[in-house]
Amino acid sequence: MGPFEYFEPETVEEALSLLRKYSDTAKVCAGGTDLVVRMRKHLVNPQFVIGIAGIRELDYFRFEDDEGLRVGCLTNIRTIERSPQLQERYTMLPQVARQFGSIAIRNVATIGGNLCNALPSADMAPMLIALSAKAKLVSIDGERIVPLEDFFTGPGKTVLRADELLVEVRVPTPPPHTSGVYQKYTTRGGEELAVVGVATLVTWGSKDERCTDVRIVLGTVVPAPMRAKEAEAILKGKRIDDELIEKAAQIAADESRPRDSIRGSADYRREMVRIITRDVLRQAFERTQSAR
Amino acid sequence: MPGEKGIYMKQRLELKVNGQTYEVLVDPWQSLADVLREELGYTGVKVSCNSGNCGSCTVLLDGKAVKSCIMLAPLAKGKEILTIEGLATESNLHPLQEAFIEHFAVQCGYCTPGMILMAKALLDENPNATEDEIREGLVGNLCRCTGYVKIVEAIMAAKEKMKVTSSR
Amino acid sequence: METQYVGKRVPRVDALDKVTGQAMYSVDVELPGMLYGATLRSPLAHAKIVEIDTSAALTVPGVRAVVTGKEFPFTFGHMIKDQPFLSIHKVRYVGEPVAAVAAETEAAAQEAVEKIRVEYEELPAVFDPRKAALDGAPIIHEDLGKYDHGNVYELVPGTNISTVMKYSRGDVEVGFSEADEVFEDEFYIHPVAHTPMETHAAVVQYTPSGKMLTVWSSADAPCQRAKDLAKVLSLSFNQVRFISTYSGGGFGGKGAIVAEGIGVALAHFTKGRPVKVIYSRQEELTASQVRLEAYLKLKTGVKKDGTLTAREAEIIWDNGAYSSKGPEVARRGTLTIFGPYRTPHLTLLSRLVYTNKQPSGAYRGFGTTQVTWACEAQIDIIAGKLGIDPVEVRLRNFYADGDPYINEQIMHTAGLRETLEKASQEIGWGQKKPKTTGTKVRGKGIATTIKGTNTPTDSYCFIKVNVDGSVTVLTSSVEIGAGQKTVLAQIAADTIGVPLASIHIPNPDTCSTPFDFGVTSSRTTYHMGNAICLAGQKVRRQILETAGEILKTDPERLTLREGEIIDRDAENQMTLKELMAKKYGGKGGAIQGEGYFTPAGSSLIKAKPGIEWMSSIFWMWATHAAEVEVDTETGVVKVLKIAAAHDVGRAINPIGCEQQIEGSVIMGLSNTLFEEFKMEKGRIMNDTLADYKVATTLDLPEIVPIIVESHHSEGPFGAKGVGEPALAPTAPAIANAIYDAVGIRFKSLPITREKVLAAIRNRKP
Repeated sequence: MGPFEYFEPETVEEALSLLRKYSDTAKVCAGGTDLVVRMRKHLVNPQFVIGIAGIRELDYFRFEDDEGLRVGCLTNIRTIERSPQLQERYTMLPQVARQFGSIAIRNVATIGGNLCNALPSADMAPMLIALSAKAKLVSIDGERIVPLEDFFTGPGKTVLRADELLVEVRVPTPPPHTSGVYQKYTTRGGEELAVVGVATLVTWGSKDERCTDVRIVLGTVVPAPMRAKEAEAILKGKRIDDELIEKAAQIAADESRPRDSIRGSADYRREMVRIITRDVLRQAFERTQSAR
Repeated sequence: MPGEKGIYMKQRLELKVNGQTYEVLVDPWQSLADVLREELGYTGVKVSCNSGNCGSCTVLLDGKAVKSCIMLAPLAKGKEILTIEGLATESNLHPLQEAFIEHFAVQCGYCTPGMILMAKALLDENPNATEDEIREGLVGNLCRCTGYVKIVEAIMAAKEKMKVTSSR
Repeated sequence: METQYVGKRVPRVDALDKVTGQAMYSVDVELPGMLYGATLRSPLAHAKIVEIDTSAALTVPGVRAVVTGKEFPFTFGHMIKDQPFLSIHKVRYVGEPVAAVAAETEAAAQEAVEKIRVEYEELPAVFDPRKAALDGAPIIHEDLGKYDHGNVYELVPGTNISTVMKYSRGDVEVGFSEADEVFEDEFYIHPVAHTPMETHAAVVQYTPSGKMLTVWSSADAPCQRAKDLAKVLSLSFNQVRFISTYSGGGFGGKGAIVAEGIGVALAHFTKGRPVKVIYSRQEELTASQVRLEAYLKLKTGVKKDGTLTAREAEIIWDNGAYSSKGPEVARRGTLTIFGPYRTPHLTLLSRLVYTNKQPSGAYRGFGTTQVTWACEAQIDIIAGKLGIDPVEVRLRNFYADGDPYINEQIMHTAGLRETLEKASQEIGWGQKKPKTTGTKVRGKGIATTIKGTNTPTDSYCFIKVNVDGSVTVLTSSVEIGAGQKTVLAQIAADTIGVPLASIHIPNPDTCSTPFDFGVTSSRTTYHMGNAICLAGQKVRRQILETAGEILKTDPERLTLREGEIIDRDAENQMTLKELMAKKYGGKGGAIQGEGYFTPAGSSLIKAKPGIEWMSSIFWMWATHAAEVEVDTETGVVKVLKIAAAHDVGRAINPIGCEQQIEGSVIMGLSNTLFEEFKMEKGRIMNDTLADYKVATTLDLPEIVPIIVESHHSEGPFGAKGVGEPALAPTAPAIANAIYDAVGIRFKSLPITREKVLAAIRNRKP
């Protein structure tokens, strides 16, 4: 690893100046749990590393009445996992966080880092996309808001420009009667990058058993986290039963594009997409039922 | 200009380890594990995989477990770092250390410092952790010798002792 | 004999060092003037080296030596001397060390390595040992015929076959003709990595003036490695010194020269400055040692009632590019393919074959793990076809006490049946299965293994009772993590009659600790334990004689217990400390005794002349019974419970035995279900612990360790051994349980979820 020159900007402005100056010869480091591993493997060799962990103003989350949840990019995954307020108001986010790596990783890994590294297996991405979350990207020239659904463009690739910093993730308040479940498939007990990851968000009508909105977002088995829109389409507005869930799960599997890799064959992963999609849909269904 | 011409200066870094403050000169690409081991002599911090997958390098930063082999040293600035060497007092072992001995949770011992510190972080945060919660909490700490069985037993035993001592 | 420590719950004497972080491992050794080594490794599986240009590497600041096979053209190999320290003329596997650099910092050494330019001429490579054994395969060791080797190994020059072992007893054709049914099955067992938490590491210093080579490492047999190095470097044994550190796990992988080799090469060029070589996890996984993979064919004849009449075994062992301990696995480890079963007619053909992959060598079980896989899977196949309970088939065929082993050694089988009975009882064998819940199906399976110890081998020790009554035991037995130090201290304490706390067993140092064959083959408790008994008895006798002098009484009336000398009438008493002070206090002195133990000459190992070497001074039996739950939708196999019954002879440290059993069950489970090398053209693609998957705390079944004590007549306090065979029955027990659950027979390992799901899908309804 290295050598590189290391900067520790104390404000966002400082960080942005450095990004403007060093552009794509630089990498941003928050916790480093992805970056350090990739630098050691020589997958990335930045000349400059901009360590933003000291910009404490970026470590926060708060609830805005109209806008929903705003999470600073330096919020640790462990913070998300353990927050009683998030457990109450956005319970699906701690549920995702709990499956992320192991505690020692979660203590250091950040939501911003997870999204910007953009591994296809990034755990936070599918659920945030399901929640219609947006990312606030800033540069010296200003800011822009990008829906997370459009943020990822390929494995390790995002729309983030070399001089931009992702500073905040905005998650609108889910409508009432909404449940979300994320499940990742791993080869053994735990602390693994996902081999398959599926997030679902389901909203039910207040009177009958019709599903008024549904999101199914696949991770890992696609170059970038992706909504399984055809699967969503057959569920939206319908009464949900096991048969329909099975059908949707199969369609989601067909929509996925897994590759053969050392972590699993394409065929097996596609089959796991079907099973996990079915399982998360069932769980989301059950949660809403019991919440009534 | 430094960096652009390939001239890299070491940086001064102040680290608080086991209650003592140290000033070290480090390269920013040195991991916290390397700095603790090589610059400060805390060889109880073990490096085994150097990729954050095995937990042997676990140390506590302000009470939170981190994998020091994938943490750039500068990130530990200003935090209270605890390594295994800082756990026992002059006269007493920590209940976890005692329990690991009493319950035969140690074989080759290479994973032991990381395991004990991870267990401490778990129990300090959740003094009533169930066995399942302890197993889940240890998932990032690999052991090849013990099969984990006695490690979990030792931690459950230490949990009771720690509750007694803290209630005094 | 009443014991204070043997058989009791005695906490490990090394635990305090380890829980406080004080224990020093090879990676922790720091010496004045120490340099750091890094290695350039071959990117190709098989190639000629055309040219190496190290000029750019020499210009990196901080570099003190750059070495290739040209400057250091030595080879080593404990059984076949076929492995260069650094490549000479060609490379034979991806990862083979081609050049090494010593520098002031690790970073500088690594930077210099990256600047070395090598031109290769690629050669055709072969990765499948069955193909490598055929005529016309690319030849990996052209000079096989010229290599020094142990004369028991039958090399086949001009081929890739480095050991052939043939054995026959009776006439299998007769046996098959007497059989009611004949079963022919082929099995495969995959290579796995030892994955100790401490990677291979060593510090080596060579002082040119005194020609003194010192190695700090956790090698499991330091005397053997010193002997090997002395021979290949033309030094005398007393010019090579191995200083053992604590070991962060070995499992057999530290039984060969690995990191030490790079260090030795570099140390010859650093003008006396020590060099530290630490293997990265990637090097550990791809360029150290692995378990021998094997293709096993087993043909067995049985009568209707399940009695075995004949067995024919043909095994091809994959040694990778260099022999390491492969030859002995293929020669001796292979013999237990026949299992603990009485079978009149046997024939075996075992061949060890080179391939262009990472060298394979000793791995927990030393061949037994692999052959038990085949043997125990087939026993269940037989049971299934004949409609006999698998436990019953085994009991029917087990050696009975007094039966001859395959070489006519008389078997003492106390403990064998008990392991099967207890394990099967604990797992609830024969109980009605719970109803299937949804897609998940349960099943139970059982397997028994037999493993011997390399016989005969020698152990020496030296016991000093110091001037203040404290005791030092000098032994070259390394604490590899399995509790050797503690067990030996217990035996010493009870044999001499002193408190355990007064005993110190320092880590081995081959210039002063006497010869030991090594911590391998589960031999330490038995052999070094016996040596300590002999030395301890001598020392005890001297103490009591001296006490007799001082107390003016007949030594026969005196006993020594917990450091107190007691007269039969309990009148005259003195402590050992007082005795030493009285006798030696003024000018100092000590009471000393040596112990030399070998099982050679014991009547227990008498056998047919010419094949006594197949005998074992003790046989270890173990039975694992597994209960699994197979999810027929995902292929996930969850192991619910494993009952592991092991006959240890006598548990010197019962919880220590449990430690070994529990650890090995998980290792076996992990090997069976999760661990796999993903290879592409000889290159291992999953070279990190992220993708080479070992079991975590969330993969545990309920483990019930069961200790059976059969009391060996010549073992120290009746003890045998436990560590090596411990994981052999796990894989077949799990596979047999899967068969019981879903009716699918797996003959090749690992049993991954994908394989299970594919098999379930393809199964005929």
